Amino acid sequence: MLLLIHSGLKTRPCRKPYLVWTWIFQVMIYHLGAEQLTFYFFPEKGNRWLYQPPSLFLHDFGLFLLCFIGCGSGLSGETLSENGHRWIGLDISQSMLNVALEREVDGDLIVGDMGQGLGIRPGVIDGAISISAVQWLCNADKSSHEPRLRLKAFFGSLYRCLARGARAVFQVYPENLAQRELILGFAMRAGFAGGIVVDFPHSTKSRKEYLVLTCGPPSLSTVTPKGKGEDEESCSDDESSGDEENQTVCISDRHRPRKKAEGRQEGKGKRMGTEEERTDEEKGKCCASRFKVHSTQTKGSLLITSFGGKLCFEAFIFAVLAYINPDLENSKALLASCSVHAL
Amino acid sequence: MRLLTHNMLSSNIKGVTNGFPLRIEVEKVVEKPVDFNADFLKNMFAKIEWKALVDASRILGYAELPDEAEPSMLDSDDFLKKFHHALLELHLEEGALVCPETDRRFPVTKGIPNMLLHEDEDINNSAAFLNADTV
Repeated sequence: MLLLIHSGLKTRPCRKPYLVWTWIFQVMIYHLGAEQLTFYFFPEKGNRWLYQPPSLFLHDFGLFLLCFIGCGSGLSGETLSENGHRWIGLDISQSMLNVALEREVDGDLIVGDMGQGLGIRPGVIDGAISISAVQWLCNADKSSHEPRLRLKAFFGSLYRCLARGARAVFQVYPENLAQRELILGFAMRAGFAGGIVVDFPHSTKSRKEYLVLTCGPPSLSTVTPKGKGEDEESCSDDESSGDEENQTVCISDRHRPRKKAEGRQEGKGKRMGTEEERTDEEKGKCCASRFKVHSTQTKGSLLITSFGGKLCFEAFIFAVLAYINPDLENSKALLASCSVHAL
Repeated sequence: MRLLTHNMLSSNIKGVTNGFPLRIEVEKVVEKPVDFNADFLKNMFAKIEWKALVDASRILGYAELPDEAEPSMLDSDDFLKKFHHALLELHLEEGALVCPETDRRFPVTKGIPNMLLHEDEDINNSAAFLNADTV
């Protein structure tokens, strides 16, 4: 469950929204427990409130035209169709697409090689998904294949064909760190904002990696979902620990990795990281899904994430205080002190 | 292949600057009913190249679409029904798509266009693509 408290929006749900929010917070804490709630706070211009439903993967309103790269037999496309989206499936294998035909999938199918570019008109696709396909671009199956060129052609054509602000979510199985960086690097060079989200990073069985990309410059809409199962309680291999409501979101922004690292060194919200985390930090890589607390001063926003009940409660209190008290600097300071205090 | 997809596809052969719209060679057309959804049509309207859709639907034997369309026409149910039929219900089952610049044929079999490029058409083999910052 995610609550986004946002200040920059122009509409308010009612005249005294904070009363509504107080009530909603209380009800949610009562039903879900504070552990499952995450608060984000963006005190920018004025203080206004917005509730954001949990699913941030794709727009969860309206009906869209999606591109399904490596659709194979179209099994997962059925989920897209059930949600009312139209999709165009691309796959390199005619025989897999024949299976999809027999299954009578709703999407339109195309035989094509993503490494040759997508061949779709600019700006027309509202979102792209792919399941276990993009890492194949790192392989050279023919002598003429050059993985770097194919990655460049793929991400370049994908960036062109997506509408501004559209999202692409690819589940990938990179073989190693180098492959992961290669894929992410080419995505970033094509112009995407985003990063890699890892579900169940401590588990060998249920670990899943997603490349979550947004077309266009970094903004509020470029937040990438946080991986599941990253909190201490669910780091075991137990698959039942995957709780749908335990989703949180962090900002991953390729333009700010160094600032984030600096923020952490100052001691604000500092947390001991694993070996892997430190390595990433040293390299200045953006791997935001691993951070639990962000305290970035750029763009005047503060971001608080924690599963600690105390922090959530205090964030809530200060969020209410900040609404009542429009003194932004003050509320920022309060919030910052709150995060340090609670940790 | 629906005309929706035809309206999105363009030829990405190396050296082609404007690969849209692909010409259609028809051998067989089928119609498959699709649930009518006005919201989807309204969302899509802005993204559709109207002229390409009209031309394509005429080649497939459906001549009901007006030559020009503007957003105000989306209020008319009659127009939406025609738009819906042309965009989603007409399928090019057998035939080919032809690149407007190079006349390369992409065959369409069982409704699936084969857009795989030969090695010498692949943009990755173009010299312009091999610049210093990629490798």
